[in-house]
Amino acid sequence: MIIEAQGLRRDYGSRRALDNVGFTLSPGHALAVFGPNGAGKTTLLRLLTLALRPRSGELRLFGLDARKDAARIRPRIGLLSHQTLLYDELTAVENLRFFGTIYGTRDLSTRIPQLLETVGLTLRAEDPVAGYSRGMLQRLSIARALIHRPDLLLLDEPFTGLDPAAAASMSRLLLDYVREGGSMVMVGHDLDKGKELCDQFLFLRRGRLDLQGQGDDAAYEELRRRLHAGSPA
Amino acid sequence: MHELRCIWTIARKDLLTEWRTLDRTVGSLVFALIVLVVFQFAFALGDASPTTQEQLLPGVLWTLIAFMTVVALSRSMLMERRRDTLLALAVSPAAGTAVYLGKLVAGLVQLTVLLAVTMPLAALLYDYPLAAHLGPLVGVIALHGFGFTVLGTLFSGVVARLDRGEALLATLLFPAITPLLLSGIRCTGAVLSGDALETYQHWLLMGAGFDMLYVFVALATFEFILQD
Amino acid sequence: MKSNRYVALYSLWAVTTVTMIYALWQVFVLAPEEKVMGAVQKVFYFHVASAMMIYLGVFVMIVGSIAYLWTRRQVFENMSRAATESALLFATIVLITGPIWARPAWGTWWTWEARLTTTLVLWILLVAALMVRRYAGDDDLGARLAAVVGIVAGVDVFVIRKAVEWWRGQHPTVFGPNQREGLATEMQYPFVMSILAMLLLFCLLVWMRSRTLSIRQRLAACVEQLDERG
Repeated sequence: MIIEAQGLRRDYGSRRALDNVGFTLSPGHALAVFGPNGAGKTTLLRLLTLALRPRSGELRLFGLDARKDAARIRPRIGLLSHQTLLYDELTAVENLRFFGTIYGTRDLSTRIPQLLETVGLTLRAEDPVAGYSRGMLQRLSIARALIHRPDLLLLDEPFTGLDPAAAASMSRLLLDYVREGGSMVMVGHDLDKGKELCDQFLFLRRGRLDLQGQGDDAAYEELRRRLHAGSPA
Repeated sequence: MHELRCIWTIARKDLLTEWRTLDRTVGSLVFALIVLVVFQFAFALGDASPTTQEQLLPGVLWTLIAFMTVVALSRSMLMERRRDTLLALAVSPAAGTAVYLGKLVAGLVQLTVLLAVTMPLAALLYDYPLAAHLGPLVGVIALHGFGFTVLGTLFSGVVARLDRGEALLATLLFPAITPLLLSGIRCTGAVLSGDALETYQHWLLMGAGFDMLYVFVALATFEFILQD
Repeated sequence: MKSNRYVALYSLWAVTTVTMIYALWQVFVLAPEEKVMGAVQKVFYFHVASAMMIYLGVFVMIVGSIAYLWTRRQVFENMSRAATESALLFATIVLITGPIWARPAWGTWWTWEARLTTTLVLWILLVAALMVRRYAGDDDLGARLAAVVGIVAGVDVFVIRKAVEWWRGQHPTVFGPNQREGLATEMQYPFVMSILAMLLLFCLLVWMRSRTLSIRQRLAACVEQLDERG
């Protein structure tokens, strides 16, 4: 089991950002997390990155306790955000080498060219990242997220600001990742992308789990209905 | 050991970025030159008698060192804010202590480079034979400059997480380093006048104590700054 | 229970008011005029008492900050913030009453002697710490950053004091090893009363401010919930 979450609760001061959220994720599966702004999606993702700790509840990643074994969990998680998380003054190779070393990846001299090939950036690899287009930046971000061969990829609205070609390119890379055995949690607003890439979803509203389902048409219809219905009864 | 490698990798990354943006370092040196010129206008240091110089020079030097510290450090953490790379570091296996120490090392190197140029420049402009006391002087500057950088790196971490307030770094740092500033000025003055070590060794001990205390506090609290 | 807290708070308010009035009466009516400086010397009572409260406030700030980082309970963050603000208030009082006393006593509005200089530096440091709080926002991150700054600044306060003392001498010490001027026996009672009054004022300020912060946070949470319901 990649993720086992139960009764997760997180407060910001007196505001309840997450309330009694629980779910599981098996290896090789992808989970989409939807919800209006302020529903707690980003909070949930931050909890999964271990940058944040829950007030109460249980969280196990890869069978390990998130509180006690954070050091063993972190090397197995990759993060992809709408921010590039890259250093502008460094080249693609230098960025990948930096993060690869931080994550303790061993075979960097072969892995880096391999990854750059996969994301199609070999030609511009020695140029400072500052000169990259948005699409190129996002492709390098994926390479950065995958450099250490994570078992779990966490995505925070990764398709923001991408043109259709760049978005298609990224979808392809992510689908490859899942097909090769990776697991994924994607937070966002884009229902179509969620349906395309993920086989399960969660819908959060005001920190609580409003709807949960497999990624079939019927479930998504229900989800669309709830999203457009506005406030519940 | 992985942690040591992280520290080195982070320091190296900071310094490499500095190297690529060397024009900013040149800007800092020009700023130092301006400060030295202003002090000349303010106190006529270059034309003063040796006794007056001995009185004023320590204060001038340490004001310059304090400014150089702020200049060197304000870029270090702010670089991490641009593309949210601070978050990337926070979720990585690199411990908070490793990030802090990496940035501290980079900051120390940068400050050393800046001071290695500006201190001789000051000696030249004010026609003061600093080289005569080079050994003890370097020791005093190293001891206190280290403390400046320790606190400065910690504060720049705090400031980097704020939405605005880049100016806060100087506002926080200057009052906080008062003990080191006073100690640095006293010790430098004593060295330049050739005073015996016993007269100012209590200051040195305080400076060393301060340094150790704040390295400890920084290592203990930096993790809280990185967390979300 | 809430009603108990109200009773306790109002009792403290009442006791503080009574003590303060009594202390003011003691100082300005009953205490003898100092033979050299006259009536202005009476500022001394509250000046010294306020100075003590700065350090008490800083101490509470350190403890509250550490407690917050340890437990993440909002009450400690509120307490720490209230203590920081109170320390700043008392520092302001010291910096205002100092010159009022200094002018007739030493002929100058300001002197860079050790304790006044320390208080000035502390004042700036506390303002900087509060600026961090202001810029940091009301969430957990802001509280944590403020707590870290609180610990660093708080501990620094005691080092700054020592360093500035070494840097200069000459502050008329009434108590302590450099006892050059003792305090006349008739003045001791008003002095103790003024300390007591300031101490009660400190406690009252910190308590009330903490409660205000707490109520404001809960109100913000309610508003947000109502907002979401549309």
